[in-house]
Amino acid sequence: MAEPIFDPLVAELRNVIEQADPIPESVLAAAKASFVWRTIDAELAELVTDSLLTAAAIRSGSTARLLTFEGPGIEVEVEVADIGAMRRLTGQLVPVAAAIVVVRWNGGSVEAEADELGRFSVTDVPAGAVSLAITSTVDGLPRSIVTSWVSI
Amino acid sequence: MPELSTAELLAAAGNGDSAAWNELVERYSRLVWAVARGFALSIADAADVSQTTWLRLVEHLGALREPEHLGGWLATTARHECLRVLRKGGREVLGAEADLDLESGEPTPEAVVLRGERDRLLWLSLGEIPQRCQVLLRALATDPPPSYHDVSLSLGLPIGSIGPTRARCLDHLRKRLHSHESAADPGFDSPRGGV
Repeated sequence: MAEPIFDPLVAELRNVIEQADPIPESVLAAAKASFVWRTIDAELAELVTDSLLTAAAIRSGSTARLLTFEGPGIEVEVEVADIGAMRRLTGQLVPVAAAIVVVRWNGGSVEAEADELGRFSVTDVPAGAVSLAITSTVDGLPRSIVTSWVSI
Repeated sequence: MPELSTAELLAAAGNGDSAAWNELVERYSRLVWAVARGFALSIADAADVSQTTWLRLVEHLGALREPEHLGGWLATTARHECLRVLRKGGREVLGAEADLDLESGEPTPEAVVLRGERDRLLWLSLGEIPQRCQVLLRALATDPPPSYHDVSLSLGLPIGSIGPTRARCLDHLRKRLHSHESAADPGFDSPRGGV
């Protein structure tokens, strides 16, 4: 791949953007601070489907958003409902199991219990990036899963 | 201390080195910001996209297949997050198939204080060119300059099309700028027809 050809207009643009639309200090600080969420002892359940990005949801104009996370041997389905500026998460663990579910966001968290059918519900979650930390017992041993961060 | 490569910084951050993490943020946060703002997201939405993108990297530290292409990974993640925001707001999504020459929306509305008249007109012109051009040119203009590979992923375009697309977008920008400058100063343009 050839190196980009130098164009003085790009340099001019860089200068103008740095003046007119610099990255806010708070955004830079938040990016640096996200390092505290590094986890080394939990398995990751990745976001595999998001109804927001499927054509059906757009056509139907449905408001509830469905997220599916998949990790090794576990699936987490979460429905997100907007209640004003807050969000309500209603979830289902597959395979079904009782678990402790902690919804984390920058500056807070809330804990809920998933019943023996793997169902849980959490209200009053602020809009923004969240992740779920799920602790269950498998074969008598504790098991920790965290979901991908997702903006809700 | 010699400058560490991105792959070295990623490895160090994966081992818990927060200084290495901070250096990665310094190196790539402007590219992430450029993508989000290029998609015409508000400051608040762009901040949200940036936050989610960096949190995604935290959870994937040590699991990137091509650590040397971190910029491309971040640009891709940020672009996908932008599409979610646009979908959620019911706004039109610019897919890979979207026409590059679609008119963009409103010019960026920020009340901006730019000292020079040309700077002001250039900023105005940037908000008037097709959306995909705004993403591309903002990404290209970030400091430190990203590779073509990283830029191609900020738009989901094949790397081979970046050169020609860049040329077309700069052409769009020049035309807008020229027309603004002509309007601001009728004597700026040489008279046509040579009367």
